[in-house]
Amino acid sequence: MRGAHRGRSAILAVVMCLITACAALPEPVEVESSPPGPVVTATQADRIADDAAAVLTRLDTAGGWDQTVAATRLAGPALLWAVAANTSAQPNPISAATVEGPRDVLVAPVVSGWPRAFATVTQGDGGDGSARIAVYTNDSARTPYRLWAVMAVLDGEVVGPFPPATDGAVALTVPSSAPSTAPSASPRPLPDVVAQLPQRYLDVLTLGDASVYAPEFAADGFAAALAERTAAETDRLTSVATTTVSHEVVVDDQGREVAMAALTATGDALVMVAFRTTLTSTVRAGRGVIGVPTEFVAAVGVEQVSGTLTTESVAALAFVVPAERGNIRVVAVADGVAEVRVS
Amino acid sequence: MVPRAVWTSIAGLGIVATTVGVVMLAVAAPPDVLGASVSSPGLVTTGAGVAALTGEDIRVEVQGRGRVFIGVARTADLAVWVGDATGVEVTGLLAADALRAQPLTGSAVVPDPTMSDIWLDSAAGEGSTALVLTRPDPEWSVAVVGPGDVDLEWTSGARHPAAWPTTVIGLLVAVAAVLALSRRNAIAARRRPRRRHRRPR
Repeated sequence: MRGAHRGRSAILAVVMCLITACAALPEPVEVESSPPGPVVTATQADRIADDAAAVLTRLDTAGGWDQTVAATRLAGPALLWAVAANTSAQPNPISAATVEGPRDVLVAPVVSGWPRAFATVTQGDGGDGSARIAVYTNDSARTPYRLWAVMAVLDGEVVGPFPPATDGAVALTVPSSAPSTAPSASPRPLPDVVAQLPQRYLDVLTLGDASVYAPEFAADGFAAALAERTAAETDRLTSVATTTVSHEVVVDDQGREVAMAALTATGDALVMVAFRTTLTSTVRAGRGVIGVPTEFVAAVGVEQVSGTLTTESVAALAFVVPAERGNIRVVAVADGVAEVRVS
Repeated sequence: MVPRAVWTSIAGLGIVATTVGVVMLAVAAPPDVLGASVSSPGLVTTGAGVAALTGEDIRVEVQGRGRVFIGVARTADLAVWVGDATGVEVTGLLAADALRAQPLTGSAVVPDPTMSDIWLDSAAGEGSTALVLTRPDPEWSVAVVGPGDVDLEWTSGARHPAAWPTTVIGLLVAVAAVLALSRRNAIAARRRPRRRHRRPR
């Protein structure tokens, strides 16, 4: 009898365990530390681009200028151009039409922390018919992505290919202080090349073909046009003024020179850097006056100046650094006057 | 020949198993929806893996005062966004209708969620808003910003995994045992008359 009782108790216990154990509350899934994903999804990128376009549209409307609003969605060259467009008759090189609309490729680097950046590539016929690259940067998790620039892809240049947006592009970690080395025939690590790119291209802008780094870069239309433009201005004013030209790399709030760097599917590096060119014309004593560019007369309040006229232009450039041997190429450019000052 | 008691016991076990299965499917079935409400001091987040607690949909609703916001982001991104903000983190379920939560003992104010682009999906409203996540990724977490009551409701994907097997196997065992018992009885019945017939000889 005792044995039978024990048997029934055991069966009952098993049954109760079966019922109660299976009805246990679900527990959070233990997520193993997985590698980070792309900084944005396509949906996020679309939303960010639409917000940037909305801000540009608002700023372009009469009385719609708001510095705070501008700063929430614009950064770097894009913000400088927008401010200049607001205070002068110069049109903003970036319009809402160049930001909104279909985007063919999303270049979203795989990064876990901040700062972050991503780019969208429109292959062409996107309203104005030209292929272009839009770059967005993000300083922290608590601030929005801001449009850094929209650059027109130069004729004959192809940007990409890039890995699928769902996989993300490999982000290139740029060392803050790459070893400064002389031009060398031996290959250097790609991150070092990218880290040194801004200062080396700056040297090329300053010295032209005389720069020791000139052989590293393929001839590009931007540098040639800039040199031609500054030479023409110097010649125009040479009888009345002394003109100097200087170039510098535009750095962000944290002192970073490279706004974004990511690898293409073929291992090349796509690198975004901005440069500021300052052209200062000082009227020589007793030589008269020089005219202020018409579109900036309202901004500076005078048509002519007998002292110093300073014009700052900012250019955003996209470079491709080949993974293997080859010249660094400028593949996309946006350029605009950022400020005109008189004194 | 297998004794009758053995087949009877097997059939009994099959009937018991079937009964248990039916009980698991009907009487002791978990509720269709799990979850409860938590009072928000201004920020409620879900811990790692909590949004995907059941593997099914989660519905988040906030009834509060002023502007309220619900956003979903990657857990790692959300942790950076929260930083040292004060709030409450939901870490799981205490019961089917009770949440397990712990305070986020930060010292900073809750940042403005509308200034961030980490959100994969979001909803905002005046006084109340809701957001349904369809089978969220285990690496996603939810943030609810704004004082008020926050409801988290998971569709319960949980069924007793052994319920149907127990019912079906129990039924098969019971039927098989009954058939075997019947066959045994039939054989026994055929043998009994023969023995009786032989006795007079």
